[in-house]
Amino acid sequence: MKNPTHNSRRQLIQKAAACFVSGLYLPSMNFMLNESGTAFANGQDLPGKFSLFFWGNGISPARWVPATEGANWQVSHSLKHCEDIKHRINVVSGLNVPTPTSHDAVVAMISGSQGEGTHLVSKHQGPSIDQEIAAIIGQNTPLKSLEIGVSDDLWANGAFVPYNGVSYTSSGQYNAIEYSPGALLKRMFGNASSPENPLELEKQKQRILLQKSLLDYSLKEANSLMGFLGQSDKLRMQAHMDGLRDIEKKILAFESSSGTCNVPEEGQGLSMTPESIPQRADLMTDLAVKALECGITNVLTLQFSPAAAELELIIDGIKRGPHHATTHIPGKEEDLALIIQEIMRYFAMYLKKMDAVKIGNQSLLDQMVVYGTSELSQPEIHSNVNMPVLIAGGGNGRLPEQSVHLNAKGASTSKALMTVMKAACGEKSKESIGHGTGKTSDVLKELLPVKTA
Amino acid sequence: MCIIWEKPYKTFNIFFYVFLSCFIQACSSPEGLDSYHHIKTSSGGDKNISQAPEPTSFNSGANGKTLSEITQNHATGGKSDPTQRNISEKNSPDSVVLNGLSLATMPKISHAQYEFVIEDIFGVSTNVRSRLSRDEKLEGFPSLGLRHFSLSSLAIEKYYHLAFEISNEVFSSSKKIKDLSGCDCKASSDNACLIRFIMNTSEKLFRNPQSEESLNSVINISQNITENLCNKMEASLAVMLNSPKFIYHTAGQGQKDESVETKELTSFEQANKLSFLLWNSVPDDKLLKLAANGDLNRQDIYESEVDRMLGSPKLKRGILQFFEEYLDLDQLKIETQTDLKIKEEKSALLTEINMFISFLLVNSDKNISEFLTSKETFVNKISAPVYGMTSNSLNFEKISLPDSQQRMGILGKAGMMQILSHGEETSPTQRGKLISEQFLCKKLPQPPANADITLPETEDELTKKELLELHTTSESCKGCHIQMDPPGLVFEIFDSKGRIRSQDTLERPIDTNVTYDGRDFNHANELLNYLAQSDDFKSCFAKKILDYSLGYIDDQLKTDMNQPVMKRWKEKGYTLKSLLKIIVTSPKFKKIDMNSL
Repeated sequence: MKNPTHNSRRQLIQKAAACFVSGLYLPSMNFMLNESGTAFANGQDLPGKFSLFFWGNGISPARWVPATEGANWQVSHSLKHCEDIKHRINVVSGLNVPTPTSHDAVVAMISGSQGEGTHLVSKHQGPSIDQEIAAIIGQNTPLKSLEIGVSDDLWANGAFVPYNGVSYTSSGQYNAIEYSPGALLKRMFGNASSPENPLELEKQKQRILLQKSLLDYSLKEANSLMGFLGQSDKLRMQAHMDGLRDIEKKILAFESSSGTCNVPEEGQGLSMTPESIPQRADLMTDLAVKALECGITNVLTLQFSPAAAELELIIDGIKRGPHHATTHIPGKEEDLALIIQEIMRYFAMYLKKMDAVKIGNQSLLDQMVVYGTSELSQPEIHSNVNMPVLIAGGGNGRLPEQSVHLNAKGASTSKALMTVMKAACGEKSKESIGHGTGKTSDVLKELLPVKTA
Repeated sequence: MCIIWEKPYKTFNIFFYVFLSCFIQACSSPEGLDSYHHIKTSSGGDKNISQAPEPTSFNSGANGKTLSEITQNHATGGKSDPTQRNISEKNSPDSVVLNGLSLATMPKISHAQYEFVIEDIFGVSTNVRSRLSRDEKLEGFPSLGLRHFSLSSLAIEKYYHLAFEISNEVFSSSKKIKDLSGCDCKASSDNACLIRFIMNTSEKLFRNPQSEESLNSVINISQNITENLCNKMEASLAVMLNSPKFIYHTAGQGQKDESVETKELTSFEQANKLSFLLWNSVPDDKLLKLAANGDLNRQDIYESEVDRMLGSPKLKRGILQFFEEYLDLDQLKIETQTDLKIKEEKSALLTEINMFISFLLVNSDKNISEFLTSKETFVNKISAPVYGMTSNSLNFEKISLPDSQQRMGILGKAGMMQILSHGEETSPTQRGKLISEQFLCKKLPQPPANADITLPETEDELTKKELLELHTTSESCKGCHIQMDPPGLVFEIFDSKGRIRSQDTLERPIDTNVTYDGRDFNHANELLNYLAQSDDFKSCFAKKILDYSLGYIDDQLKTDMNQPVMKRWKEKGYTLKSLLKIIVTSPKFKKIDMNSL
């Protein structure tokens, strides 16, 4: 008997691939690049690709930090499943968050912005690292950035925004996370079918006409309201108008495509349960890789689990978690260690899938900068020192060929943010990142060649 | 000469003006609307059209006015508009002056409001929540988040797709399309029906009369659909549901004028503010009509409308929305739970809480103290076993909890104890935190980073009380935990599922003797009785309702017992309905703070 779920997964990805083949979006092709594949043939910097991989509830530093430093680092207990791909992962230990309070760390860790939070509401300046980078390398893709997630087991039922999603343009605009593989596929490729029946074709034309008119109308209405709004609401309305324009951009892209994408119903039926996590993680990482490979976006946030997540995982046939609650129950250290190890298995799986995609002489992972991190270090004490930081991929030749374990000896985590921005954006990178005590223009020099550092 | 109604008009604009001029003539004739009906019928037009309700703004005594005059007056807030009348001197002599003002902000419509609006206008139940990105919370309150956060591209895309889906659902099952359009769209192709549908629907969806230009745009887009009339109407609904005027509450805003600190709300804006606070949905036809003709500006009529709304079954929607946010009740709505038994139990416990609140504070209008002390509750076959009882029916039955259950009030509900637990473990800290923050309005700071949590070496596993008492040995933990742990520990007689117990999981007796707020308590009910009698609980509850009504948390807002609002509430017997009436009849409820623009 066939495994229907497996079948749907394959079907889903094949459909995605079909869209790609139809020429809807194109990656940088081999003939456009120089011999090593690290720049365009005319010497121009290749646009980088960036992915933030985030998981909630930190690590257990004693089991996380590799025993040896430098190039020949050995995988730790937590990173056991990264062995096969460790040559593409730089581990940075000894980084501290530049903010004194524990609940602001989630903001400082991702944006370099010192929180001014009271009562779990961090009012921070500046965008998260993925959005900083998307503003530079995300302008010429159908989606400026894509934010997806595997587990939506939010802490405190999502009461505190900085904990729900790690991608934001400002403290007032958080990017919603897509958790449904089916909806994600639809968002990436739409229903780009071209009916042959003239009647159906006419209907489709009507639909597109209506969609365009509707968006024009909504934009006009939004514009008419602008004069009556206060400053902060103007920004909110502006964000709304930007969202409407993004839809317009996609309609135009789909209209000009000749692909045959149909969203399989099965892809939308996955429930949010601990049992379905492996399947969801598999699908989401497949689609994430496809989005980056096809140039649908250059910037992708994969939030495996939200900050302080109440995630449950089935490991060795036993349900472990809820993750956050477990961090506050004495005697559950072994469970915590297994949960972190399992999350890192998914991180390794994500990287391996990127490595398997060949683009000319390179792999997708060679072009990528993948930044893996969490909101704190040791969760039991809300520790914000010795934070977990993984910087993986080749960054189009900007990151070291031979990965290292670097002990940053108490440096600010903002340095890691600056490093990944430089690695992903090259010459176009901003000169500094963060605000207040989190602001820096320094990088982790050991991870960047002289050219960009 | 309304006979021209029947003639075919090639352009919409001509048609529109003719339609309006006929209608206005009818309104301004001595026979008013009746004559309009007569003319329509006698002219041989579609009889159904004449039976459709007209948009409220056009019922508002618009004698002799052109469409432009009517729409501009409403859309631009013209001063000659009766809805703009200054009402500050017309308040009832016993109106209480609040010390807070609403801000001139633009809240987004909530998921629940979206559903209620569609239900109220079209009579169709929809599920919006599961199809949109979550509404983020600010300070734990979704309604505050609605005013603060921008929508992301993904969220906007979901609204866009949802509009088409909801329009389709409405046109598949609504019985009210005929009422709104005046004809059967399956049998007719009369464009007048489309126009009437758009006018009637836009006024309700946008909560305000619309400008001519705006209406024309919707009509033109819909007319470009070459399919049948139903399709055109369906398309027009999708267009309207996508408009920012539907997605955001824009009433109350205005051009920034440095010289003006506060702005009086127009009667339409008052109607909306009242309706969304009390009913969590759009104003009904009666309220809209009073807003349109300016009568809502009369204090006697305004107060009588408030009484009508407080007596309406729809009041439950508004009140339950507040309590859902106040007590974080949506934690019991677990869509993804695969264990059907757990899902059913949580759902039953949520229903119990909602029925308890509705019965106590809406139907019975009891003193708010009873929210903490009432022994009444509602059980069915699924929830009864949690309380050591049995029931054979899925229908809920009102009961008075026996003394053996040792529980009362909202914190005696098993659902609340489940919300305030960590999975299988009870959390006295969470339970006490709710009491300190939500019942006593104490502000607790963030937990410190890198706190020392080294446990002392002991041979025996510590009880939860012993474990939590360690917080008091650490200076960095003590300040907050002393306000959370003791009031939470008295609820240790309830396990993580909310069941009564006398021993903990290791079969040790539970010690609920605590000192809190300088007093000794040895049982949850002692603490609840103390809180119920305290002024601090009542003033805190009033503050929570005020914050919710104004739409933001105002740390300067005082609700101590010397404040007029508290004195008046005491006179009225501390009932929730009376508190709401005090708030919504205050002159300040009808103003907004323009400095917030």
